[in-house]
Amino acid sequence: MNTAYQNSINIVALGLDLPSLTRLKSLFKVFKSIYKNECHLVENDNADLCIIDFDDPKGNALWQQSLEQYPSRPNIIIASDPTVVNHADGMTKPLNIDLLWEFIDARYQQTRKTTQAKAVSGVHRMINQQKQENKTPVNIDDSESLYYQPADYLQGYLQAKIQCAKQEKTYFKLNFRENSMIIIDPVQQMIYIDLPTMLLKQISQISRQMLEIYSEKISETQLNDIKVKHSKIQVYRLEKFLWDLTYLTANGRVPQDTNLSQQVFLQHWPNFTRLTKTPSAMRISALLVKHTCLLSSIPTILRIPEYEVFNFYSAANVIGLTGQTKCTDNTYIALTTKPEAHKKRNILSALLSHLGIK
Amino acid sequence: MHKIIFTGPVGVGKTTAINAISDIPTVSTEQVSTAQADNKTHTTVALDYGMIRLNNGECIHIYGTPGQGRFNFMWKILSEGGLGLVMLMDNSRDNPFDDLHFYYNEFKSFIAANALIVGITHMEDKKTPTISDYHEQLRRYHINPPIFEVDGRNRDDIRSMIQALMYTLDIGIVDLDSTKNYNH
Ligand SMILES: Nc1nc2c(ncn2[C@@H]2O[C@H](COP(=O)(O)OP(=O)(O)OP(=O)(O)O)[C@@H](O)[C@H]2O)c(=O)[nH]1
Ligand SMILES: [Mg+2]
Repeated sequence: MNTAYQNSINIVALGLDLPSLTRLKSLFKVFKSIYKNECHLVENDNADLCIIDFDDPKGNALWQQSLEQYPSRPNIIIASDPTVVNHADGMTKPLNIDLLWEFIDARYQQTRKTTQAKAVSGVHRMINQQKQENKTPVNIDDSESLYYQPADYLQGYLQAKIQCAKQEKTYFKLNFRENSMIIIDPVQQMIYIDLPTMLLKQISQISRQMLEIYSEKISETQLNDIKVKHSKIQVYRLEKFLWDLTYLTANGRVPQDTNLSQQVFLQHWPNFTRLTKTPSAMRISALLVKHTCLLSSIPTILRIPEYEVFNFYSAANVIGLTGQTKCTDNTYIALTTKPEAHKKRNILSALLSHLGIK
Repeated sequence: MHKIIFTGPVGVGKTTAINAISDIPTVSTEQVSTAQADNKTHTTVALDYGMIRLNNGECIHIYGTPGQGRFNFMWKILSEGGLGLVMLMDNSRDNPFDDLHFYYNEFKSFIAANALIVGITHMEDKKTPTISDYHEQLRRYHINPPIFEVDGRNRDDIRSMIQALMYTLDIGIVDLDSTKNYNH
């Protein structure tokens, strides 16, 4: 018997695509931290309440079905069109996190009060009770998918070696199979690398334990020798290499020690002319140098996928730009409403297109 | 009228940067330089003017202030109707922070009403101060603008500055690099 979800709110989400389900899962994590209440995504039959996306072509049918099959179960309707949502149980997208929680909580409390008193049909109820005891979650929720431990990957290993190299002011050479290598130059803040890009991509994502890798200190003369002998060696700025490697490693996740229920901010803009301009990175930066906000609310504010936010946060964190504690610097304003559009948005947008940026 | 203003000290690269993004040959009022900037034969005495023609028929006017002093009277006129300010700093000058504070104070009210991006040139000649040091300097004004390392001769660098300036003005402009049709 699975007792894990006994003291939690079991929710079925109908008509939502996979990215939306993933977002919903992370919202549940925020609810857990802030409101100390657990929500879980479960199958239709096991749910205490139901969220239905009316932007899905089958949204209305799913709603009717839900009403018929589970008359006592509350539904929360979400849609982009406010007129569709002009309904007691409706919420307009983008969803406001606090409001969504209030909706869920209120409706859940309401069912708890009524379910005991109100019998559905005798048979139906028996089946439901049986299912209640065998409640199993839909297999889309696993906390590992939101977090990663940098130390378990090449990223963390490299970060540690960079720190040693800086402290000891020595060059470090990391050796991989088939003569591939990464050399850390702490003086010029450069990385020399002889490793095919595809291979780097692969090894960035496999467990550090599986990597056959050993490191050694080398002298400047040895470094110069290697530069001459290895014609394919490429040189990167250390910060850019770490930024890129973190994107590969994070793969839509944030470091394990990130507290998703705490507001984040950016100390200052990344130096984008010398870093890879990863998707949405400039917009996320523009937001976080002015405002403190929850990572999980950024996808809604900027209308971007969550993995872009998480990747950005991981990379900015590696180069020391992120902050998570309550920021007392009055440069930052907590974001309460969606930032307003500039009165010349069309012009700004046209200028970006013109410059080939948009 | 929509304008972007470039400012900064003599020889920092204003004329070159405007040239890199202007659709018309930059209209400059250059004279043989009297300033001490090394290897520099010409300096802008009145202003630089460039222009970008947008698809919708509108224009963005780009103005560069002269780098030498005594021209402050013009800057106010140039600032009217502006979208934002691109402030270029030359890292190889003796006291780049003096320049930073001087230009910040000259444009203080314009910056408060619009947006600012700072570009640091000549970093290949002199690595310090660092970008972080510049951020530290601006903290006292409680502003946190983008500060990028740039080369006035590199069009991509200038484009990135304009891009950051636009997002500073409005984070809601959609970035087409991102996944499209993302709903909630
Ligand atoms: N090394 C280096 N040279 C640059 C850079 N940007 C511009 N230059 C060069 O520096 C010289 C001066 O650039 P200008 O664009 O004339 O400078 P300006 O700011 O207009 O100077 P004034 O009009 O005198 O105020 C030119 O030869 C440019 O090619 C840079 O980032 N690094
Ligand atoms: Mg000039």
